[in-house]
Amino acid sequence: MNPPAGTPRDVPDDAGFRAVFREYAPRIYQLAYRMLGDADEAAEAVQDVFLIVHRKLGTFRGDSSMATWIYRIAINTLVSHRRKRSRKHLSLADAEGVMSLPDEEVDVEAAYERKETHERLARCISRLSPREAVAITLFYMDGYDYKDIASIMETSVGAVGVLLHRGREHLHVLLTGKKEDRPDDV
Amino acid sequence: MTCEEYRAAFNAWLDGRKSEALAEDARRHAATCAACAGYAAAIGSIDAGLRQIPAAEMPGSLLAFPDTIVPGARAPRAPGRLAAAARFLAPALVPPLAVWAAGLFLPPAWGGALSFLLATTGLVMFGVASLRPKFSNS
Repeated sequence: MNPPAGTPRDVPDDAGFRAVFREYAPRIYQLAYRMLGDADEAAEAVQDVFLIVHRKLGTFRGDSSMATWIYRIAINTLVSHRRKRSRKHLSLADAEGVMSLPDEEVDVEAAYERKETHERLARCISRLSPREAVAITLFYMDGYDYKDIASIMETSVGAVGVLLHRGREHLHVLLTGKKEDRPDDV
Repeated sequence: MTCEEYRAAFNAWLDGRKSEALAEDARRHAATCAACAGYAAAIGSIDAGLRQIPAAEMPGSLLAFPDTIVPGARAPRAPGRLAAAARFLAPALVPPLAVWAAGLFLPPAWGGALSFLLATTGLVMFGVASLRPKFSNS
């Protein structure tokens, strides 16, 4: 039973924390891996997220679902990791990693069928804006619907649609180096 | 239907938010607008690719993470080899050493009493060591 608002339990229930970790750590790892694009960094981020969860578990009041609460902590932590990483690693070589993606793939559909293209696509998610990456990961990898994503991201359902729409367009640009004709260009 | 409207409708359709009213308009628009037809092929492929990305599996080493932060949950450490040997040998070595030390430095009466005390201590230690639960990972 959740404690009433304003009277958090001082000591988190260890068994409760373990259950929460078992349930949510794989999902948070998935999000971290897609947002950061690196297994070691993702593992480190998951630990940071669950340190916070462990510290704050006693203050969880059940205003939102446990999943929403943990995802919000995760998103804040992951955005902070990405900021730190961009300060540390923003280099020409890193930028070249994206710019050197082949753009000679004329038959985009055929290219996407290849496994390596899927891997490139997955890596490109980490190049999206944090909000686009979160929306794309929650929708495609975790199977959340618009309403859940909107709740987790503390935004409107309409904004989730826009994030997914823009995220797909940005992924296409990152993957092929090409920009589809905008309506204005037609 | 404008290109902008078509693209918004197409993305909504990809997300399972179909609008039958818009569908016919969208089909008509795509049939006459090469740019939007190309857009639909490209973004549709991105959507298909995203649906096929396999889940990233969490490393097994992370499963032990709660053990490192939950107070009192840390697994007991196995004693080192030296500590285990000392624990085993101490009860056997203490009585003869005690007798030897007592004979060197103390009058016989005191030496005898101290030897008895230390030998008893050694036996008690041996008993305690035998009764202690063995380390287990479970």
